[in-house]
Amino acid sequence: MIGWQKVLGVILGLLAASAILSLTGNTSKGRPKSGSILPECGGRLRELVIHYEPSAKPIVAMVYRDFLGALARDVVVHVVCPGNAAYEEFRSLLGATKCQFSPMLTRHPITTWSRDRWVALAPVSKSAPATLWVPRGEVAEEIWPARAGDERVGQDLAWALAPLVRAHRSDLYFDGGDFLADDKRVFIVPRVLQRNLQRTVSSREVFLATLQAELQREVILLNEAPDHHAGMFMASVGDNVMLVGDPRLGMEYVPETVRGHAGKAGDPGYMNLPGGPDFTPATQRLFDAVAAQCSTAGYHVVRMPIVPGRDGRTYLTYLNVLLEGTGGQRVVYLPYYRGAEALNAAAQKIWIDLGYSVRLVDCTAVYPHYGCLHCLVNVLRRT
Amino acid sequence: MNTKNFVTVATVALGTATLTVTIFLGATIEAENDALPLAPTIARPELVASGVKMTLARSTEGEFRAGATPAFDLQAVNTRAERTEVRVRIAMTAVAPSSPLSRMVVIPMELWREERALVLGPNETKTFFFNATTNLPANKVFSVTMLAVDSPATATDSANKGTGLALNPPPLFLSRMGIEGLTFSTVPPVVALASLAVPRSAE
Repeated sequence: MIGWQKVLGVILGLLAASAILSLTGNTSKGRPKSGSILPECGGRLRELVIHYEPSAKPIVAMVYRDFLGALARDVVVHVVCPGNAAYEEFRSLLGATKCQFSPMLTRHPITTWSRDRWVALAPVSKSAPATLWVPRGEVAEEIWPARAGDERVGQDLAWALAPLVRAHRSDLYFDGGDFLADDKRVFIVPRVLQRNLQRTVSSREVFLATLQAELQREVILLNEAPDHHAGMFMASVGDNVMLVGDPRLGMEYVPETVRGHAGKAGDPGYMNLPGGPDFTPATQRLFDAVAAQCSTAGYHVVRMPIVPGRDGRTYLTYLNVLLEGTGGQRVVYLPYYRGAEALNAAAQKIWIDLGYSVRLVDCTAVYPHYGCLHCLVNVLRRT
Repeated sequence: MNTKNFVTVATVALGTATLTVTIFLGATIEAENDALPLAPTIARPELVASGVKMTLARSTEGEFRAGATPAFDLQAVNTRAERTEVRVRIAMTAVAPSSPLSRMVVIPMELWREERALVLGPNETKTFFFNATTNLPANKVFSVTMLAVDSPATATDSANKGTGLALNPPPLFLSRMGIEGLTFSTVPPVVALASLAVPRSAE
């Protein structure tokens, strides 16, 4: 026979459990609420996520050494690795650093590219978790095991960092790098529509409405743009100022003998750009179209030298940056490329003239793989 | 309440609370980390132009293999009670698996394209046959798109065909993007992801 003591104990235990569960701020039905997409600018970097895959060591070592070495003591960097040996190798390749590292072991293959795996949505309140907005699926995952592993990273992070972080898998296909957000708007590249139209959404209108609801920002779908991630050709610095790449400006810093022209390809040996640099009118028009649309949206547009390759994927870009700023102090973590010193200097000057202190990051080894600094680093929190 | 009773009550209460919090907090994390099902994808992507609904399908049963010449059936349904003409472009692009270090796949290469004016009677349903007239290369992922066009193409932008590198690829304008009607692959199946998990003994 169950004594009154046990019955009383169960009742008290259930009451205590209810109180504890209510303090965790759980919502009971439907999808928990999240805030708006994290902007690219404003506030200090506080919590970051990078990947380390040992096969990518030759291309990321210098980037991580320069970038992580420049971070402040109170920045936390979660390092997603396939296993313990990878994390140990990662720690050994860094020089002196002040920031704090936290390993996250996946036990499955990953690629080295953190940015595209999820988009951070801010917490709705101080006590609420941040949300990782995860794409429905990854491009080519059925033939690319590491990319199939990438699809699980958002969930892995949410489990490791719960209850401070949760994951929400979207009904849409996208890469994290397809979006560029500031404090008012989020810009989206055209290929996101193409990936989803008549696949996950029935029309452009439904697509835009879905994004507006998810990201809680005014959504601007670029009408014409280079076929690449947004952060390769544009950067928002806040206060309605947008930087947009300009190949015509980039051409000024490329030797005439390697430039090529509309009818003839440039020197394919220049800076490992497949097919040489692309200064064709058709490509120039794409960058100008982005600038024009930003201007129409009310932005003051600043053009930045950029040198795209004829393959449409390899860029020498100074827009693939990380930004932070509080009060009067603004910092840009800026790629540079050995062999393109004149171009590097021109880009640095523009950032300095905009009021930024420059922290240089050697991206020479990584840019031939279609990405750069911003693509390797995802931001979970800002102050 | 004497000490023995107090201990019994406290022990049961603690055990109950721990068990309850563990069960429900775990389930809540699971729910917050999305046990919610994804909305279904559109099974038959549809292009609609001038009142005509169009979908694509393979002409023959079975998988397309490397070396084969693919053919497609475009089914068109005229929703109007009048004769309707619509010009459509069907294009097939291919992309090879990228280097494992690459951030993204290369820009797809266009292998074949055909434009045709489709004429349908009032409320007529008709199937149009498209033969790709190109052999499928091995180890590629293919996409077949439908796009309504206003007028016949006047310039070629496929000078990169067959070079293995999409130099100056066609720009991705919204106005030129098609609806992806079919995808298929001639890439050999990969080993399941689970078998590629990092073994603990290797650490």
